[in-house]
Amino acid sequence: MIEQALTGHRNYWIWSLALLAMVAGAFYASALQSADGFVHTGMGNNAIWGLYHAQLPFLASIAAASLAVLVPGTLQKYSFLARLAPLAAFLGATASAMSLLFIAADLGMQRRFLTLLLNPSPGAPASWQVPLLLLFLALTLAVGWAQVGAVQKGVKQPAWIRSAVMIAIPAGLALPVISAFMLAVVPGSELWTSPLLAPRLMASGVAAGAGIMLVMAVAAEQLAGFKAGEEALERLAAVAAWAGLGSLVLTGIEAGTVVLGNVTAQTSALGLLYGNSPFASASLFSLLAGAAAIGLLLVPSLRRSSIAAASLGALLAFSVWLQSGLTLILAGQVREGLATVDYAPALPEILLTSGVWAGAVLLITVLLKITASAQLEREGL
Amino acid sequence: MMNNDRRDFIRKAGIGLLAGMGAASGILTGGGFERTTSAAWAVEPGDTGRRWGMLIDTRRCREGCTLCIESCHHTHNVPDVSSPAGTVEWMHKEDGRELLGSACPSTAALPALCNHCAEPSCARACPTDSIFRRTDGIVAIDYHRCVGCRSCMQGCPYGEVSFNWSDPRAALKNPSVDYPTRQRGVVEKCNFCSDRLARGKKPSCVEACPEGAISFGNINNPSSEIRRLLESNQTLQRKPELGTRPSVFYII
Ligand code: SF4
Ligand code: SF4
Ligand code: SF4
Repeated sequence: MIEQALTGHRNYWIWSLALLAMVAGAFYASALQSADGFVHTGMGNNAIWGLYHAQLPFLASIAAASLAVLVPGTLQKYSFLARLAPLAAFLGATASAMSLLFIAADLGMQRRFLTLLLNPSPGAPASWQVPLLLLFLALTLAVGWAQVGAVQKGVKQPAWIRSAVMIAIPAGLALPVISAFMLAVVPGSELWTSPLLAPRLMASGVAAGAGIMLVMAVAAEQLAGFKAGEEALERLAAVAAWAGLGSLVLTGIEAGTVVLGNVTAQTSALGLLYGNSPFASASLFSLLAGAAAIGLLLVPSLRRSSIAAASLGALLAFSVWLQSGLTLILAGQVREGLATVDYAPALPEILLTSGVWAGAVLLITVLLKITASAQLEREGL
Repeated sequence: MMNNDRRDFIRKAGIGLLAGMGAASGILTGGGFERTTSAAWAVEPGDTGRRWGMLIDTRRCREGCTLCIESCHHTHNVPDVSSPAGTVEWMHKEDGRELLGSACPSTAALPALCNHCAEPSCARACPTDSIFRRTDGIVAIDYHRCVGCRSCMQGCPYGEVSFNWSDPRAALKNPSVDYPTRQRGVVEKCNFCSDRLARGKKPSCVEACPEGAISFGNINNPSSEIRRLLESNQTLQRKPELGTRPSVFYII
């Protein structure tokens, strides 16, 4: 199947080379970091975690979101989501792989990465993160690959796929919960100890994940001749809209509780997000853009136009990334005597982060191309 | 450095937040006069061994004196990093109200160190069990296992864990042979002088204090000197409401 990745139009090559250039930037930044540590980043006692760690809750929730399509598309007979199942599997795999890279990038002692597997401490939620990510990566990659292979050969899916997906369900659902629990162990950090954090990550993750899958499916349709089916696309758009609405409601309930309770520690934490703080513009933009995208996705005519739906899906995903990626970590770590609001990522940090994202987009591009070609080949028979 | 950072943060975060955080620091540390009760040194079932603890008599602590800090940092090869974003500290002095909350009548700078909590949240945050509570109550760090993820720094509500953002060996002027040096990329903090206790010595800061303001001992032992002092004085702990059960106490 790999050979299909190596044939393509000029635009495909330009796109891939541009992404590769960004990946090269990440290699450069990571070489700098292995030589000199974090001195080339904006992190320090003012910001204990930075851009790298800020990706993790978002990515965990995206990995979990892939189950929303993978499970019905694989386990149900005659589901119209079946065609999208490999896309969802590849999204889950990519998000897990990115998480692992960002975890590695954020270690002061990168050569001790394996310690995370060899010396876990089960009472600490953070210990579960890497093993679960590795498991989820292996399962989703194997499932996606086998599904594409089955489409290409025009045979039924191998039976083990069902068991693999069943194992992936608890592993995937655990990822955002672990992300929230890792933050919940910090007493006195009001943004992190909220019991609504895990459900909020899950709902917003499903919304963003469905948004990203919309973009993937529509891009594969427009550019590679993949056929997702109108029904499947509309279903994705509806999932994004309703999950997004759910996450907005949870955010509102949480803010309402804090405002009514009027406990100073909690209201000042909320103020860090929406009050007079440097994080306010990102938080408010995320809230407004998310609400707008969700509102528009609820309009049936917009939802049925694949380009409009994909653009709204992308906007929704971006707004969720701002909220459960950036501000959750960067604002959440601001505490007395500890981190301050005073953090700006440095260039190598940005290069590494965008390089990992570019690598992920490249991987998804190649996988989509393989998926589309497999489908085309089958239909050409 | 802590104070500067905080001032900086307040300035940057603006007046609205200033009001919020200012009040929050009072409430977080117990709005009323939250004195320590004997529950703070009660022996938990299953925890019958030693529990090392410390009591700092702030009435005796001299204004402007930093002998305890210097002695600790020299003994343990704690690097002297100049940039505030990279400071490493095992012990430092902080404004009494920052440390103990609005209940504290003193605004003098008081010594602060790891509290060797009986319920350490730093340890719950560590994915590799590299920061852990020993059976004698000391919360220790394994520098050879730490992966440098800094979860414990986030996890400690007192900000008592430091990370080696730069090479610590380069920032040692006069290294001591009594304790190993660390590498860039791992965390460190006060070890309650477990190295010296093993050699039958008292903690370095205790010995260095010319006023004898710091007492150290096994708080699980009802006949120890520290227990006698705890039972006969009004004491405070840092942020007791967080459930970490600190083993460092302050007489105000
Ligand atoms: S003071 Fe902080 S570092 Fe020390 S034991 Fe308590 S939580 Fe851990
Ligand atoms: S920095 Fe080291 S000691 Fe701290 S949580 Fe990470 S691995 Fe554990
Ligand atoms: S007990 Fe030892 S390690 Fe801790 S502050 Fe005192 S001298 Fe330093």
